[in-house]
Amino acid sequence: MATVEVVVANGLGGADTKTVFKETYSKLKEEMLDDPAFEFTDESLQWIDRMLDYNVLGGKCNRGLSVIDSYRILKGVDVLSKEETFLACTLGWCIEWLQAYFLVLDDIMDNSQTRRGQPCWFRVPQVGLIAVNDGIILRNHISRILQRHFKGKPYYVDVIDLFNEVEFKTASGQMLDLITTHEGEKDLTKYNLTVRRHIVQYKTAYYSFYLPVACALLLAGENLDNFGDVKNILVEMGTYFQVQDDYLDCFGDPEFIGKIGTDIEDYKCSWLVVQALEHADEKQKNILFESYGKSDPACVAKVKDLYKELKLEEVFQAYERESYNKLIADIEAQPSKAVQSVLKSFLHKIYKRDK
Amino acid sequence: MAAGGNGAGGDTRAAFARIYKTLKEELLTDPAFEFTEESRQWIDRMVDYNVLGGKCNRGLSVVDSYKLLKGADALGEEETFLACTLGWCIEWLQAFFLVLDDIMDDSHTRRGQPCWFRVPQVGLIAANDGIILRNHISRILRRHFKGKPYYADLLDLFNEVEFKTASGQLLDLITTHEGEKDLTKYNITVHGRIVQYKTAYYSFYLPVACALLLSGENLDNYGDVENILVEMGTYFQVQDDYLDCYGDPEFIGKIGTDIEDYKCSWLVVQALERADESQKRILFENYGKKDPACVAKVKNLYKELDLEAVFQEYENESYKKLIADIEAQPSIAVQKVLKSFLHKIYKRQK
Repeated sequence: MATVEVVVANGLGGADTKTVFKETYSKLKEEMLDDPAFEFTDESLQWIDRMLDYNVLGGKCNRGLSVIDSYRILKGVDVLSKEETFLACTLGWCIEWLQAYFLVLDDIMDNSQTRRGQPCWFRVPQVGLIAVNDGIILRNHISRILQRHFKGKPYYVDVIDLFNEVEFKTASGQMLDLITTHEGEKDLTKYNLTVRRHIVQYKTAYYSFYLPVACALLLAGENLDNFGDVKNILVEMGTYFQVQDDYLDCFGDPEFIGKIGTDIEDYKCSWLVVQALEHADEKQKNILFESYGKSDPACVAKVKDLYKELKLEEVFQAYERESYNKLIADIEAQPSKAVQSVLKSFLHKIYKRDK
Repeated sequence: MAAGGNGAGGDTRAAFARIYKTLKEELLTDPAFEFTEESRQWIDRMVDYNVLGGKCNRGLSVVDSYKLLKGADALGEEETFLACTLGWCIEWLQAFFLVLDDIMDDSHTRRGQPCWFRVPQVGLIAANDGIILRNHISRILRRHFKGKPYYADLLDLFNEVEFKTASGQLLDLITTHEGEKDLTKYNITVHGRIVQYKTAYYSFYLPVACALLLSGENLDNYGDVENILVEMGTYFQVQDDYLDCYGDPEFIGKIGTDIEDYKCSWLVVQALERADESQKRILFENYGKKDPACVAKVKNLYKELDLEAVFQEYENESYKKLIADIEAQPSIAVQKVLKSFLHKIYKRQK
């Protein structure tokens, strides 16, 4: 371990973490394909092998990697031991697996076309709605990974409860989104800040922001019941992150964000349309009612022109500054310096991002 | 609880139904999520639509098994509640599987009503509803079993059985896809594996495993019991395959479509084993077609190959082997549990 430790201590922590993280994926996948709880056929092995690479890889892995970063900060060390690194990477991958499961199913329910520059998994020939069961298998892999590597740890039950609760919140948030969009398609005024915040909090913030830090806290031997404030801060941060996403969907550079946004066409309960509804006069509202949720480029252009007319870019910038100030104040009110460092690390990764 | 002894069946069902209401009410006020009125109404309807409506045999068998393991005619109130709660977790698990299976199979009806995803305004939202049903199990277990010494074992049990079932479903989906190109891919080994994983674990092993955990047992000591129950579940599914074609629709509650749906049924597997070349060609040309004339040709071939007699022989042999294996078990209480399961399904007609 001396060589690895020296290398990391010399400043290759970031690059080395990514390498180890990738290696851990290969190991976990190999274990999944060799699980004694199921007798695989060659066909099923090949299917799952391809399904995993297609859906679990391909993202930036920011959520997964942040478990390792957070754990390191909580321990106040530059270097984690091999076992500590493996366990942190493994929990990080469980979060990536969880996201993959959500995205596979979300793409089916949204009838989406592409994801990360390739066809959605259910769009791949021969897959179709088998993707529904593949989503379930992705979810079950998390339980298999946790049992294999954490059973016997004193916090094993806490890790399972954590993943289960975050999954429940996320699925409930997704349901809220589906029901709200359905209602909103009949009456756009159903979209408001409270509803939108409710959806975002549950659908995204818990698994994207709270879960990685909660995993690191459990690894560090903490009791999550003592970190209610940390949870609240991370949920606020996740909410701010999603507002950025909504903003970038419309105002971001497609070259940077890696896709062409379609929130307007898809009748999404976006922060932008909610703000527009709040700031618009009656005539402007009529433009929204007539043009929002249509695929016609002319209608989309009318909505975007209205966003410009209402100066929503400036409204967003003011919101961003206010959110940042409030988050920093809340973070600095935390008693633990290590926890403050974790939270600031998260915040600075997303503040004023452009993709 | 004396009344229980005088009519345990009826009393158990009444308690079971009451506990469903308690569990549903708890889920609709779960502090982990801020419900809106619309979302609460949606889940209320979704849960009633999908979790109720079956015979609840899997769920009720947890209670029955637990009684037999304890050697008691009546369970205490807390014991009844916990056993019924685990029984409902199994019903919830099945509901989750069926909602998603119906989407993947593009089915039309389930238990005499449209499949949930066929209901207007539901559509593919049903996929997320399936996920919510699965998450309800975790919420129920946490609420009522956290703090019990076997809590982690329950979580592991449900997770492992879910994994096996989803893997069996994948096998079924892939096999059907492959079989549609080459019917000879269907064989007794493939059928046995699909059935074992897709159905037997959650329908037969899981209820007894729950009862064993409630009794304070370590499941690692019950590998033989698991094997017997998986065998029983396989036999049960062979019966299902047989009844799909030969059962009285009045009794089985549906019109079977395994032939039309290109299913890897025990019947077609047996037919492939016994058929000569010209009979096989009839199968290749007619299996998996919607045309009633094609379906009739397959059924005539099944008759020609005397598959009813083949099934009866299989049933007799399975019963004898299962009884022998059961009576080799050291625990008399466990023997009673297993015989109780077997006698509920032996020579059933629906």
